[in-house]
Amino acid sequence: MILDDRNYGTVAGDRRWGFVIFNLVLWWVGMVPMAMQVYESGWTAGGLALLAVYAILLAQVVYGFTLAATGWWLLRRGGDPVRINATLPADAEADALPPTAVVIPIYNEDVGRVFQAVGAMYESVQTTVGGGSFHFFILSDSTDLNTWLAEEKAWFELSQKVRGFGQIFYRKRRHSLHHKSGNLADFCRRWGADYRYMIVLDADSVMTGAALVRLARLMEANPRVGIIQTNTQLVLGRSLFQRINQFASHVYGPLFVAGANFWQLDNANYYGHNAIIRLRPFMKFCAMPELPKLGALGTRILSHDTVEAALMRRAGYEVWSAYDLEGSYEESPPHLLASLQRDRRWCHGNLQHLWLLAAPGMTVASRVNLWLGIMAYVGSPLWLAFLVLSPLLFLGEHNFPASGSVFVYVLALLLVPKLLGALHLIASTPQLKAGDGRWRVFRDVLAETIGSVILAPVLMLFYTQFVWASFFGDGVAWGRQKRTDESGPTWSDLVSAHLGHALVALAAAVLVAGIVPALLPWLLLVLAGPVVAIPLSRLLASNSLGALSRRRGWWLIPEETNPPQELQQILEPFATSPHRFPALLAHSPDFGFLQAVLDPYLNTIHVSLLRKRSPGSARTRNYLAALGHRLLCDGPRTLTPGEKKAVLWDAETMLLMHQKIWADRALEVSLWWAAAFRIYNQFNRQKSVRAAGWPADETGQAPQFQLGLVRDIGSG
Amino acid sequence: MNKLMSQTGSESAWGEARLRLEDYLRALRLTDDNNWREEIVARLMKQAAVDAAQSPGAEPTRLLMKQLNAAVARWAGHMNCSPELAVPAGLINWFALEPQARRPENFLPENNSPGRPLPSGVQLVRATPDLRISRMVPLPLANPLLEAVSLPARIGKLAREQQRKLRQGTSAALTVLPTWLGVRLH
Repeated sequence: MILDDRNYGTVAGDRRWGFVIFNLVLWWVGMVPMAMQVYESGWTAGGLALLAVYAILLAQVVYGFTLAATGWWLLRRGGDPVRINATLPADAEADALPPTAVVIPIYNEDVGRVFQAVGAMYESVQTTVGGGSFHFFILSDSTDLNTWLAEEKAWFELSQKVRGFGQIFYRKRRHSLHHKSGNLADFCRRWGADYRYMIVLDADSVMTGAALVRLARLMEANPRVGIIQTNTQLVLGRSLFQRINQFASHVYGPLFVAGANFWQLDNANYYGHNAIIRLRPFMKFCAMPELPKLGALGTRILSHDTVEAALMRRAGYEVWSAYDLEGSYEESPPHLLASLQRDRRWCHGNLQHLWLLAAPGMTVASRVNLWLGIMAYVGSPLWLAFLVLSPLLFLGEHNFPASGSVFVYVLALLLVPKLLGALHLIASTPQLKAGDGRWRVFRDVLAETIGSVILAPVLMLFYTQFVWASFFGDGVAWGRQKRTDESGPTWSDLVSAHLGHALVALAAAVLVAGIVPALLPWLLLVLAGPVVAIPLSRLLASNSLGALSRRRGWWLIPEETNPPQELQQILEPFATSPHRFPALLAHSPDFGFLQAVLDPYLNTIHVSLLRKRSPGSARTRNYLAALGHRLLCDGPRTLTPGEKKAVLWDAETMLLMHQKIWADRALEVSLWWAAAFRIYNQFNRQKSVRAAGWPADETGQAPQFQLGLVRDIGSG
Repeated sequence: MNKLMSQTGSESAWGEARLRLEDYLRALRLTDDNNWREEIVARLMKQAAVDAAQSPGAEPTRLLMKQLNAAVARWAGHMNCSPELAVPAGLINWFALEPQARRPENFLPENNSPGRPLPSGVQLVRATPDLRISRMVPLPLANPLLEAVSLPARIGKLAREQQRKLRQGTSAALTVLPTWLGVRLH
């Protein structure tokens, strides 16, 4: 407990009421001119509808402004005295650390990136406290067979390299039930009882050892706390889109999270990663409920994190934001389309929270958190409605003064937080005060603001589509999240994503120019974004522009100029032992299979990680034996993906096939296997000759006479 | 050894088997040391030749691979793993050894009794800890909104169930009725 119970109730009450009153005053100031205008137009039904939409939107804008202003005020005063990160007693370092599991759910991710981060965090924890009580779990739901096998190899070689056996674990789920929340629940059911805390990370998350350890100590010091969420800093951006995003998160993020902590206090939100959770109450109270199957929104909750925070709070445990804890990082999507793909899922998940707004027992603050998540997306169709309705209703009357004052007021509420962010950054960074540092900050903020003004209507149109699709569409598929993209989106992807919006914006511009030409300059602010979205989206996705901007000193963040050890380590390629197949074979769609059956080293790793088959029915045994036989005698092409998966999941069949192909000379394997086997051995003999220092003239490829066969295999 | 081999298979068959074993050991990444690998091959060939004398007609490649698996299984015997998967368990623990512990005398020791201590630096490889199953079930939300929303679905389900029962009842009645009528008429 940060304050004693008596004081805490008073402080929380005062803060929340103060926050609400401040919001109401600002909201009222913005409402009056608009209401006057509606009044002057005679309280028509359209006018009242517009006023209602405006009231909701203004409340949202005012809330954002209040968060930033409160955060700025608190940070200027040296930070909030009521914050979880200030609760650690001076002698906490001496206490033994509790058993803590660091869990990383993954789903067809970049294997090297994931395991490099795990290695960096593991070593960082070892350096900080000597490890011991921290166990790392990579919880795989990968459906791609090649990725699965690559993960197993990476786990083994990483554990070998850092001597992490017994502290770094890997678990692959056979059935990826209920996505990420199901993956975590599966961990809890299997091993949750062994740990007091669980630190949840995303596949693109990284935390320093110091931050991981501090989170565990903070939980120890505050036994009534159920979840502590850290404020993650976006890092490692390469494209222009990522770099601008991470700059914005660096400049404005601290203000908003400090402001949120001011009123949320022990009722903060949980964002699903880079957070620590007390496992016992989590397992008891936070299992995800099933929603009724009604329309596209039903069944499993996709955005489980906010609900888990609300359930934890309902159970009487506190949820805090350690917004000032340093060393918590994640990456942003590489480009706009990848970001929108993620937003589609988030939108659907947040709208599912509508069902939970009336759930009994939840605190008011939890309901507000759920509501804010919903409004993050529902705000877009409301903005669109407002933009369409307002000119239709008012501009025929040319009542510009009131419209102008509303416009200026809302614009100020939107832009002042950016100015405050820049001022805070300059004030809190001594290096920026010297030379042209402060002007660089203003320049970068101005450029970012122009970019966000152009992009805002593009996002509005997409979010409107997402909201529509969530209510009336076919639901949302759980796909792999795109975290890196070397080449960026293709032009055809961009055209199919943005062309419709561009045409609508052009048509609107022509219409407005014909009917109310005076309005066109105002509307250009909104219409310009969708019109230029295709080239803009391509430019933002560019890695070379990202690199150029970095070289020129635009949108720099401290993690770029002075990266911590953990981030430096992630930038290095993950070193696994090279596979022993010619490059052409590696392009085979069945490359993973080829390796797991043929290569003794990889077969050993794969089989060792599978559970021993329970003595199943004779029918199952015969089925698997028949599949194994077909696989060897007819080649992998004759098996369906489901059959391949069944074979890969069975340790005995995998071992038997491996031994047969190496030891049974009488077995007539398919041409595919015969060729692969010969090429594989030929290649390894040559490598061995080279390793012994004998003269060799190969190019690292299979000999010429076998290239035809290699190509056959490579094409699957 | 050559004499034994000549009794149990052609020279070329043994030559091919040896080549296959060399390929396998190379692919296995047991060691990067060629001399070491040669030594293992020679010892396994010797054991396979003895084996071959006891089972004439056996294919040399199979005999050699059997000897290799037996050696690995003996090494794994120190690790309390299930016999069916002793070979991969033995191998993976061998791979996990520190490079300095990967010596021929550790892999194929003269004294290979189960009581022999493991070489220093062995890290037992486990992908996951032991299971400790717990319960994690959702608590009912008792949400009036959810109740209201799911009411039509629940009514629909109930109606379908009643319909099914009615169908079953009708079909039973249609089956029983003629028999009953027949009995009554008689």
